[in-house]
Amino acid sequence: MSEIKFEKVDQYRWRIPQTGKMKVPGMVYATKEMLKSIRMDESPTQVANVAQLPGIVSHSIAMPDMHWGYGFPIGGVAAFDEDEGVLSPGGVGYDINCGVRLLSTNLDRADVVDELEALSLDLHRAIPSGVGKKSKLKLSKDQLEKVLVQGARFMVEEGYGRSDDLEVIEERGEMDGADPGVVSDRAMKRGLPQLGSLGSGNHFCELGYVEEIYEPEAAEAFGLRKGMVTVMIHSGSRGFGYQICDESLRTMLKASKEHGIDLPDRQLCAAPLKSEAAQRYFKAMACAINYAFANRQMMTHSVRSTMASFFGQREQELGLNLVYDVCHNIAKWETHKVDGKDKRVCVHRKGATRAFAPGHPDVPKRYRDVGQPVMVPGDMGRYSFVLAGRQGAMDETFGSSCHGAGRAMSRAKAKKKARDRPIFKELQQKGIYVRSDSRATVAEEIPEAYKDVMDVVDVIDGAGIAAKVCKLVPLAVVKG
Amino acid sequence: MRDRGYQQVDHTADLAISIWAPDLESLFEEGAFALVDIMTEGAARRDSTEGLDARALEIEALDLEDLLIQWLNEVIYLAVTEGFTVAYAELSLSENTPHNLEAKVQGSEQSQLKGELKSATYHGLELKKQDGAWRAFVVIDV
Repeated sequence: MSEIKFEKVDQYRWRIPQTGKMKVPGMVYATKEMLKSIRMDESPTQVANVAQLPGIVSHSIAMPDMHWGYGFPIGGVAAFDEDEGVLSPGGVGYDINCGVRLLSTNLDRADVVDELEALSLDLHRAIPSGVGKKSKLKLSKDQLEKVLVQGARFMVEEGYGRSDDLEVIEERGEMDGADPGVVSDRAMKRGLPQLGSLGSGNHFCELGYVEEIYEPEAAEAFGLRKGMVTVMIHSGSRGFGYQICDESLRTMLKASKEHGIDLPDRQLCAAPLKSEAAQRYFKAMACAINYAFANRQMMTHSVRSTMASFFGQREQELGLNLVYDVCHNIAKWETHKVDGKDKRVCVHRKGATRAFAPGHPDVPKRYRDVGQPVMVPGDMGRYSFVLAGRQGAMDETFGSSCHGAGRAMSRAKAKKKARDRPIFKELQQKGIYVRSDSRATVAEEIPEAYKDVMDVVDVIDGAGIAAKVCKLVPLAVVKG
Repeated sequence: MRDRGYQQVDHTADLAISIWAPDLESLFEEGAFALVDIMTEGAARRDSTEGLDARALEIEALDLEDLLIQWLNEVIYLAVTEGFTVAYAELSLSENTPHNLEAKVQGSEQSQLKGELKSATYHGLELKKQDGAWRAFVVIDV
């Protein structure tokens, strides 16, 4: 239970006043109703803790899907001054560049609804998913190093994708500053066999359809129309990213001590952005970011070739165009307006997504009039949303938005609730086919284990951060 | 209650375990057993050392808590990358600096892991001596 006091700014904005060692106030985006459950864990305290870090600019921010994380809350956003500020691995997360991508298709729900059982099985077979499942790729260490520097581009050049995929990936799927020289052998060992695999837990590949459109102009620009079948892939940097994060925590703990940074929580360990420790972590983080981009690119290829094979058509005939790929665990350099002036800051988004507004040069040209696409996955039984970034994000949240629903129930409780229940059949009755090698994972991921993502997205939309563009409903889910 | 063991504790997003033992080395050993037990969904066995492979490990850490986390992550690493699940551990470590441990672990290279553990974390980490026994609380990212 958090003891933090909130001050209402308006129905969607709650300030945590600057007190004690906080250097800036906190700002939480939520409704009064949501605050009741938000208060049940220590995440508000974590927002206040982040506000203690040196060089933090403006506010320590949290999105409506916030919950307890390691150091930073999940759903946390914080930007740091380039001279006075710090880089903190806890502000990125263990699963570096966990993110989501969305594909559009030329298929309609009617085209797939009678094929779901067979199609979901084919997808399940094509995408290595689950515990210990290794990738079908056999990469050499040299090739892996190229992946770490080039990200999605390497996969496309090797034939696993289309060159115009790169335009619609955050950072064009290739984060600058990556240096495999700082990556440990352990991380390489963990990463080598897993490229192109989904991972377990809340990662998934989901076939769905567009059930409702809220912003027709943006939907059209994104290439989405009502009834259209879509594919969403949610995955990160697998064991590779975890290894990088774990190793960095130790270095950062030492650095925090050396630089006299007072840590309210060990997992907030950080080093000044200009320090060697920070620069080293950035280089390693960039490698993990590229690994995840390449990973999602590889899985996209698997989806495309599986569906082409299944329908007996060429990929391009089915469309299967990449709409966008977003990161939700990342730290990067961006320029934002602070007190009316352009300021270069290091933005940390942990369980939060970039959501740039119309007109921003980093939004792909084809979307520049409508804003950057933001995919916000919900649970496998209800819905997910596509949003478009709005000026509110640029003005208030360093161009950031929410990332998902957030869990409502522990894994143990979910498993208990699911025990003796025919969970696969229950979802099937709703028209949703779930494929997984692990009933336990699916049990942990039952829809009621999650909060309602619509509540989260309504706050973001209501607060002018990003606008709802369309709602996607699941048809078939491949889970790890 | 047994003088050593582990228990899973409810945690919203991840997995938390509570570990206890009469001395520090046993606590570390119980921690390893806990992770293997979870990763194999209850199939971890300590019946005999017959047919087990042995490995030597050495870890250097910032402090005792860091040592525990690194130890647990070592157990995860071995399981995930080499399929090696630790059954027994003979550890040599000290409460005092330097915070190192040396261990001879015995285990099997089977292994069909059922549950995936990603990393032991410092989140809410507790490691302390209480009423003559050692207790730890660790959150594991899954």
